[in-house]
Amino acid sequence: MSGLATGDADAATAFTRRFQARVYGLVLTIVRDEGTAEDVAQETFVRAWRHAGTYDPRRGRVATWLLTIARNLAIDVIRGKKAEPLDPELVAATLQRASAAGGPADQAAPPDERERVRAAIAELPDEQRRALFLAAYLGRTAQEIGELEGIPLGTAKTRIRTAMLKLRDSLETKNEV
Amino acid sequence: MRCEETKDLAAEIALGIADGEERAEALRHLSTCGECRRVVEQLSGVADELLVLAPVQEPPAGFESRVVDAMGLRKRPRRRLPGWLSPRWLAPRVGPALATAAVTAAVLIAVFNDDRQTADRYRETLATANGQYFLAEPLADASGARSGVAFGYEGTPSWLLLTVDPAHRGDVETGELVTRGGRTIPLRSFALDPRGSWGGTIPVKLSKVASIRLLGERPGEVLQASLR
Repeated sequence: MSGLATGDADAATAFTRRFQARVYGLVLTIVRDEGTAEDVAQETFVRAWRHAGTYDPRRGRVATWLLTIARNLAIDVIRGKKAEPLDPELVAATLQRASAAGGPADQAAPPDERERVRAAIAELPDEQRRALFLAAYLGRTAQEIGELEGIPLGTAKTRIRTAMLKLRDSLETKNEV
Repeated sequence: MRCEETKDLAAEIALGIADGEERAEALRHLSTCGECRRVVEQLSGVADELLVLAPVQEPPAGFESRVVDAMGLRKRPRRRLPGWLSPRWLAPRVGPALATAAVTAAVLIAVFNDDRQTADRYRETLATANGQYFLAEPLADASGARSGVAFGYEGTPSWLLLTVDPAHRGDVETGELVTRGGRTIPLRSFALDPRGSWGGTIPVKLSKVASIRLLGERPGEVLQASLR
């Protein structure tokens, strides 16, 4: 990371190689188009390089910092394209399958961490899980989730809030075990 | 906004989906309330952890090279010349032609010295921030009439400066980029200043932009610059 901040080409290559599969996988999940995903993933690394000096390790790991940049850029793109709504079930199923399968190139998040998060999410009721994925991965607001799911705004907000609080408690418990 | 309302909104703030007005009110409260700030921080950690579930997939071959190129960090390796292009082979064959060309070049350099200085200044300017090129293209209205100018810079970051002629300033509301792949990217910060200009960084390389479109409220109120 420090090499990235100083503009070292070898450090930038190593950094990109380490995280590219995770960044590209996340972006492709969101934008659903390989060409666009490559553009967005590339821009993610360029932004990370440009702002490497502002990365604060106390606020989280490099991987989550990078994935957050990728997620926000990808959401900007799909919002700009006014992409058609995704089937929430499909999103949830894709992510659950992916997390269960893991991946040989995943160096950014160890399998036990993915399994811990996957297990915590599996405990959520289906409707809360869908709301959570739509918000976390597709940047859908409570209003949009309400429209997609055919439920009142208040119900959508409750599903998001309840899911996040349960997940927090569940992950805290698992951390303590 | 009070603690109860802020905590109700904490999950949406952590996920980055709270609407602007509510979010602004909540942030004002968070600046003075440590307890609510702690809840938002916890939930932000949860939102981050959710991202690790995304599928892992390798991008197309050569991705990291393209990233490093986009960062402007790559030192281009010197190409080795094939044997038949070696000086020993070439000297007797093209020497006379080169001598003639050198004389011609000397004359041209003298004549176009100003151009060379301009080119040198251009290269030095680009080198300051690893830029690749500047461009300027006319913005045209639906009839093709020139209505302004789009200035662009390919570098890190790439950016645009758009100027719109007075006759069209009232028509333009939003701006967008159309990439060579057909993707449309809104210029979120676009707003003409009173002198009809807007400038800002763009989220893609300028070389990937096929056109810049400025749109009005009604169909047909479009100014467009096509980039070569």
